[in-house]
Amino acid sequence: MAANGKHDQLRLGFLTAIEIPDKGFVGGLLVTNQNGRPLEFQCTAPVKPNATQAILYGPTLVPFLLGELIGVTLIEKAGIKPQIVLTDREPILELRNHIEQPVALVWGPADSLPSDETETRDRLRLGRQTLRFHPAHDADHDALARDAAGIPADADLQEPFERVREALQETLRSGALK
Amino acid sequence: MSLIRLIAGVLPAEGPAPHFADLATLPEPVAESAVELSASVALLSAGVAEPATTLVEVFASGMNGALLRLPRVRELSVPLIDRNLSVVNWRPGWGRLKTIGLTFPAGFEFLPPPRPKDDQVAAHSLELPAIPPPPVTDSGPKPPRRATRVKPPVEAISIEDRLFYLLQPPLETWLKGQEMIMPFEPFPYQYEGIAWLFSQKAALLADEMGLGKTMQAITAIRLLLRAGQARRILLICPKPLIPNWQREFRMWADELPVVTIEGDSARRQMLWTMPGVTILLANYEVLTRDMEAFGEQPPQFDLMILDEAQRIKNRDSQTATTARSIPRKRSWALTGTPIENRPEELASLYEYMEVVPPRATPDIRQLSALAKQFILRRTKDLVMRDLPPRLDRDEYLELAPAQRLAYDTAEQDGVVQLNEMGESISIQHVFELVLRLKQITNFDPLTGESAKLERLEADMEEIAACGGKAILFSQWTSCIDWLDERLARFKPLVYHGKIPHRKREPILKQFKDDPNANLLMMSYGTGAVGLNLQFAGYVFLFDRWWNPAIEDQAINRAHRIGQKSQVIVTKFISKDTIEERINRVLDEKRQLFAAVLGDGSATNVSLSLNATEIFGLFNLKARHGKGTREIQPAAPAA
Repeated sequence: MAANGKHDQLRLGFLTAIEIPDKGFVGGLLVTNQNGRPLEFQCTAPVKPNATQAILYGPTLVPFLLGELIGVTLIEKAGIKPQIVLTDREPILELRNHIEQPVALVWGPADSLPSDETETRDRLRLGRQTLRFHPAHDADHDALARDAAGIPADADLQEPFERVREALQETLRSGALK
Repeated sequence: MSLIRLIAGVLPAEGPAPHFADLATLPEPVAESAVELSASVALLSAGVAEPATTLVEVFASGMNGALLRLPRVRELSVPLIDRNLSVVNWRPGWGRLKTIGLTFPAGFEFLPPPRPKDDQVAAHSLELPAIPPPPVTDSGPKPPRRATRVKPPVEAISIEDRLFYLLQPPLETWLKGQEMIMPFEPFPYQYEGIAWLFSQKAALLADEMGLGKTMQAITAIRLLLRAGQARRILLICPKPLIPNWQREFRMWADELPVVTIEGDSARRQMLWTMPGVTILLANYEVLTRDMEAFGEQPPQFDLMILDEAQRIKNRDSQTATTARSIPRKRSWALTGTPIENRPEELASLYEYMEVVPPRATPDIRQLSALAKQFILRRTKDLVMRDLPPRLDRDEYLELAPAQRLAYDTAEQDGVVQLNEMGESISIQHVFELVLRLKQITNFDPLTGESAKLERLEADMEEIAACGGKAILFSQWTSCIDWLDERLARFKPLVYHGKIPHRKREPILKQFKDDPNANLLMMSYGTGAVGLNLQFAGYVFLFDRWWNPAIEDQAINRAHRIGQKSQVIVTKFISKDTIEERINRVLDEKRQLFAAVLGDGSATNVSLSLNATEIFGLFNLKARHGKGTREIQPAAPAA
């Protein structure tokens, strides 16, 4: 198993974005193996819509920015393509309409799904969290249940997003994205 | 019909003028519509200001009939907008987003840990069973999950370097057994130490003895290999600790291949340059001897670690010079006593770590500033609050009669001889007398009487009866051998420098595993460092070492992580002897250091006696004219 992800180990993409006042949205993608060890990281420069764009996109603005513009760019840039994309921001689910891989929202702790409730098509327990899917792609449920079975039952799927946010802040502080 | 009436009402009563049409004579339908229309026209003509009172006069003009005709209406199609209007065209273009990326280096290939057969079957089945998380039994707030993160080192400037460290997973996640098997859960301070070492190119881990420096270093090595940050590592330690490191590697990193540099010269040369070797383990003597053969092209390493790094405190020594000459990317040092005698000793370690220029002489302020960045030191007081207590007992013993006689005679004769030497006296002369007296306090060489032995036997009776285990330290191997004969009924085990290396490990194993092995007797020089004997609950210091830091190292063989019960430390001190005087001087020094450096810092420095203090143990006076004057050591040469 090589750390460069070239082998057929499971590759997870943790995609999130932060909003910086006066600068707009910055997106980051961390590709890890199934144990959370990093393989690749990509991040974007800040994206800020102008007034016209904000008016014309209306409520679709944020899903467009985070899912289509930032998300697609990061997936395309990644040399090590994730097999599954996880996000902690619901608008990023829009990304699923533009890529082939399953996209899931890390929605809440595993116990947010009552133990006596059967998993529905739009929800799945994975690691210590519950996942949700894009309503138009409910087949992602089965794909994840099949492909992500190697993820440990006590894996914390929220934690990598903390790393991505820290890395985004560090990158902004460094001025590398100016 | 009000309009009709209105208009009709304004017609002249005496008869219409010839140019007026007589409305009454018009046919009814026509008259009605005509009157309505003409009335409307009249109203419009009058401005509709006051229709009720306006008098409309319609003069005969010859075209009054036209007023009574209905208007013709025609429909026409008119284009509303010109097709050639200009249109503003807006398309949502966002341009290309700028991105930056970082690909992590490939890590070292580890053999996967062996799995039970059942697991192997599961791993190869297509449908892996999902393991649900444990059921939630308590709805109360959960304790926060601990996460020890790797921090970028201060010297990491580039964003790629900083992101490399920032994006590593928390150590608790990394080490919980998915990729690396950990035999025991590290303590929180150990996680912090591992994370710190992982990120440091230059590091001095100076944890107090017994806090697990070895384990922290081994685990940090594993992480570096896993993260692709190192592929060839050299670890140097004192020769007696080679088996200890081999054992610790087997325990904490069984998957790592470790090659020990040993054998004849040709074999060692081959091992030094053998490709594919990940970790090389060598002792200081071998390092010094073998590097000469490489001349200007010594082997290179990604990481070099010096254990018991105080061995290079003298920067001009051959050992220190050789260690510094080896090309390496990272330089780590491990020691519980980074300063043995003077703070300046740190400068030699800093020079090895390449954080000061060659021959630099940093002052105390600079040493302290560098320490904050490159030294990590924790004491048991701070991090091991749950470690069982260590109970120190100073046992003041009266010498046995024959011992007393022998001691007093030796001291008087010795002092007389020293006084007679006058100015030619040296520290070596005084030192020899001290050693002779200390040996007599252990036992009388003529009669074999020993107050310490009597006390030790009494204590060992109790310890053996309850199945306890004790370690005894002495300065002399001859004393240990002498005790070995007299304590035969306790089946003591002997471990000192004269025991061949191949026999040492079995001795330690027997002491650990044999319930009848209650006593292990060791010399300070061989047993004081690096050994893990935490299953022993008793420590005897049969005689005292010059330096309490060394004594502490010896005691910490037992009082360390893994110790389940309190450790009782018995220090034998013979009353009214040189031992009592030395102990008093050392106690005073310890208090002085504690006052200057703060509590807990006394173990950070060596408190060994200097020449003046050794001279002061005896009231030495040389003849000086008609009187005498105190004898002092010669001033050191400039």
